[in-house]
Amino acid sequence: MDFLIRDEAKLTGLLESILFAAGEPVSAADTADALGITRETLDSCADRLEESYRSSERGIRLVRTEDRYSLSTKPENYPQIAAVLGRSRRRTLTRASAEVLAVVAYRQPVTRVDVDQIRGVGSAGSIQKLLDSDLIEECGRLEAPGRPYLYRTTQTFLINAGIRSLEELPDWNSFGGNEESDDEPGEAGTAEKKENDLNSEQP
Amino acid sequence: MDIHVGDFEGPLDLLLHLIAQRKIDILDLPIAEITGQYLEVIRGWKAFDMDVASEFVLMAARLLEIKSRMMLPRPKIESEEEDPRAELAAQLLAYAAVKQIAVWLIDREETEARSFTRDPEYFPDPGETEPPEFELDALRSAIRRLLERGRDSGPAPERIVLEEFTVDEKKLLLRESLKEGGCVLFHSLFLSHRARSPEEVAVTLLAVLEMFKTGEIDFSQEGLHSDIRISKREDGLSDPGRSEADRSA
Repeated sequence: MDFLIRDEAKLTGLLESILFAAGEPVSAADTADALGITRETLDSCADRLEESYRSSERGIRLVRTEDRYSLSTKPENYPQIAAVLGRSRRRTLTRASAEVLAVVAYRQPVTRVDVDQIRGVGSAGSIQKLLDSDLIEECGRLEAPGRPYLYRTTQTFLINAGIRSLEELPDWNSFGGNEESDDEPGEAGTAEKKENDLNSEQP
Repeated sequence: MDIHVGDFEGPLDLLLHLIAQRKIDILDLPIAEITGQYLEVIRGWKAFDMDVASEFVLMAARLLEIKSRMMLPRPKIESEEEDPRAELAAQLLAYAAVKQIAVWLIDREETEARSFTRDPEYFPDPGETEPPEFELDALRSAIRRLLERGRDSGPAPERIVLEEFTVDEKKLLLRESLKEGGCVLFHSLFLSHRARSPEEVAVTLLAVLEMFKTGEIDFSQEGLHSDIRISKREDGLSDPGRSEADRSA
């Protein structure tokens, strides 16, 4: 690229411009490629940017979601932003849908029947709500009678929960359940990987 | 006891509530006691939604079944059989975790919902969505050229004859041409001797489109903006509109 830049301070500013212009999460790999720099350099720029946002003079924060960066306002500034702009954010989770989301997040990919079984009640309505709000998505079908849909969480879920990846979900056991303690949530891995495994390795 | 069906997400939730009240170990449930309390609670709910009810009643049946198995004297052979309460206990523990994770997720959402993001900026993909270079004037002059061909074909007629073109007739003509050459250039259909008036141009176009729709003909083009070639479709039905055309002729 003819705008090859090595100055990290300048690159940090560039990253900020790119994230501002995009509005949505931007792939780190694509950005590094386009700027002709390594991932290490980009990540170090991201760290610099994040650091500079820590000051209370700044109202923006850097959000990392999987392999993507984005910008959003600091949660602590919410009351004033809402007052000035007359905007507010709705919560989408109810107790029931949060329970369903919990099961999907830790046991993905799961079928509706799995969710029903763990909760002891029908979950079809909550699953539909979560699909509608893009917190979960279908990811193939289980090769079993009836070929039920499998569900997994989305990138929106990660953003909604403010975590970078599924690995950042707290340990299931820390919540007092000791069932299937070998089934660590961290092993859920990336969504893509799961999809590849679906058709071949379902019990 | 003042608890309502709406307070609970389901029977497991109610059981956890009863267990928490008594500070009982889930792995060693006093099943008779819990079953009694559970039944007492759901009997208190005089009228409630049957869908919800069935789930609570199902659990009541399950509790009673476990209770009865606990009371049966266990023959020696079955001494290694697992505790009848084990499955329920595991389910309760898993659900207890799910409940706590749900609270955590709601809490996380509450925090994150306090952060605003911009709407994504829309950037069209330059590779695919940009239309080819195209000038409106070129289209206008092409239409004019096409229509003027008819006008130039001779002096204005002294008598105006009612011209009748039917789509079927045009289809028949095209079919004849295809039979001879195998392939016809799209623009040749609109040469002056074939299409003399705007109406005739329009009717011819309709005929071409209709034949394409019925799968009788195919279009091909060597490159962008080059002339369209019309050919008979290989697997097309042979003259599907023939009888229809004969009738109107």
